[in-house]
Amino acid sequence: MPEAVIVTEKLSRNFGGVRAVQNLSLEIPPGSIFGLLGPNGSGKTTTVRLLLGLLQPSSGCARVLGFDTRTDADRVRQASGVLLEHDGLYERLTAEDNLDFYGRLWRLSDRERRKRTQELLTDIGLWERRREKIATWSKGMKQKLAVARALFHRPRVVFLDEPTAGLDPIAAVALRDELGELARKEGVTIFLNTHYLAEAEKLCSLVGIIQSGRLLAVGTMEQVRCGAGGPRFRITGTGLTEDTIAGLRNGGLAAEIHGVDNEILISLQTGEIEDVVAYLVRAGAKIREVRKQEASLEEAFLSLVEGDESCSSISA
Amino acid sequence: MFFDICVIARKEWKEYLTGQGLKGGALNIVVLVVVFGIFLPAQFGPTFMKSPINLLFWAWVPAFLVIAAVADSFAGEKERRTLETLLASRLSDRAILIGKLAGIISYGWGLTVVCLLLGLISTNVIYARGRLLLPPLDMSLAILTLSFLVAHLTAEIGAVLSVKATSMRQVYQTMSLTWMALIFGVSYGAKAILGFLDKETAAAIVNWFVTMGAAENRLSLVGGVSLVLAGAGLLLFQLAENRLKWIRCVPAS
Repeated sequence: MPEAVIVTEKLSRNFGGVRAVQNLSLEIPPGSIFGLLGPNGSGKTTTVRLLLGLLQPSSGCARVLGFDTRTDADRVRQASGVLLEHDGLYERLTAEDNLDFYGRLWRLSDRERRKRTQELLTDIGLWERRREKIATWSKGMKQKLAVARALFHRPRVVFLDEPTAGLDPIAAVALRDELGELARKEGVTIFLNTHYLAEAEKLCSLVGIIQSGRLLAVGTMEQVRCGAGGPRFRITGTGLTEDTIAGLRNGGLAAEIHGVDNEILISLQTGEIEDVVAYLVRAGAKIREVRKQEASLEEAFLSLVEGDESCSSISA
Repeated sequence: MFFDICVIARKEWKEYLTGQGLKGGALNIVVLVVVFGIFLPAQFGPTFMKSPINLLFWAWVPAFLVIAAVADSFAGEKERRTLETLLASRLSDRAILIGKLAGIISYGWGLTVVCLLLGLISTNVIYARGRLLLPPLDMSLAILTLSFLVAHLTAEIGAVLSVKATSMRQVYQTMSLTWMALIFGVSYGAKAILGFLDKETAAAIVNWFVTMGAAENRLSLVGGVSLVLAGAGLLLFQLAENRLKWIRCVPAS
């Protein structure tokens, strides 16, 4: 297995009494798009700042491309591309000048800068507008340019903090498409902070869910969906009466059951689906179909976040 | 690091030339050069070139130019949310700070030197009548040194203030008011001190300042002032660098 590009071990950061990030442990393999999902104020931006070495951890450690973020922060930033919460573009300069400035910072040659500017601006459909001052541009265009700037020096890892925040739905979809396309073409590892679940579902091969600085779940989309509760099944047939459903509920086989018109939707708790079917048959029901249903990322996210909130309120 | 400093300074200049408002713009620069380089020297004539007031005037010009540039460069960049991305780049705090200061000082002092040369040309064109009018050599050296150090010190003060300021206007106003207080304070303070002295001593002091004494006195005075300014500049640089480190570590609001 290739060595992970980003590794964190019990990474924590406190601001006074506030625990912004708590015991965050992650491993992100090369070439993947990792989405860190969480509500506002959950610790996503602090995590990115810790990974870039802009903040020192209170405890734990992180390595990006093998460099320790506490001692080799300069080398981490040297090898990374960044789009923080704000686009960070110089509005008095043209699109070309903005890219040229960052190209110079990364010591690209004149030829390389010109080539890269044309390549990236063409890819995002802004080549014709390269000589315009970007102050006149829409937010969507600026965000695209900021993504291009983050990728300009061909970094091996790119950190994007809420790249579609504040965009209208059409611009957000367009930027997501461009982002996915660019990531595939450039072959970089992307660490994406977002609270848009659709964005994570569309772009990410791995996701983590963070709440109050704690990582609640991490894995592939499938693993996170399943980890949010037991598997769910839709059972259709006849004889699925109220009494039968009540019996299932009392028998402790299911965590959650909804029944409507000879159809039940069941989330398993500890048992197997075979046990449920056997019970229903014994109770006189005739089963026509049993279909496994995947929880959406949104359901998984809400289940994890709400679950965590109720745990926090109980412990408080 | 030299290359990084040049890249930052180059970007600062691009912004001066294309900017609006506090930070230049090509038209603003032309207006400043015409006023300080042609209009004022032409108004005052050859006396202006030789009088010690000249020294004070050319020490004030770079401060005037630098205040606007430094407020925009640090506090303005923070306000426009571009500083955070720059700090997240591969550059060190020191390279960013020196690059910005180099851009600001080359703007303030560079324009002052351009104005000086233009002033020399315009005074000669209007008043020379066949002979070359030149300021004394020691005066010229003193002007160049003092104007550079004033530009440097003003830039450093601006950098220190900007890092913790909430807005570019706040820095601009604070620095403008400080300079005004300094100019009026020194003027009225000197007047008040002279009022306490007997007439003869006061007249001797005034005469010394007007003629600036002998050239060697003038040079030692400028040398002393230069040392103080340079020392203060170095201290402020350290303070600005520490504050920039601090800003890197503060979560974005």
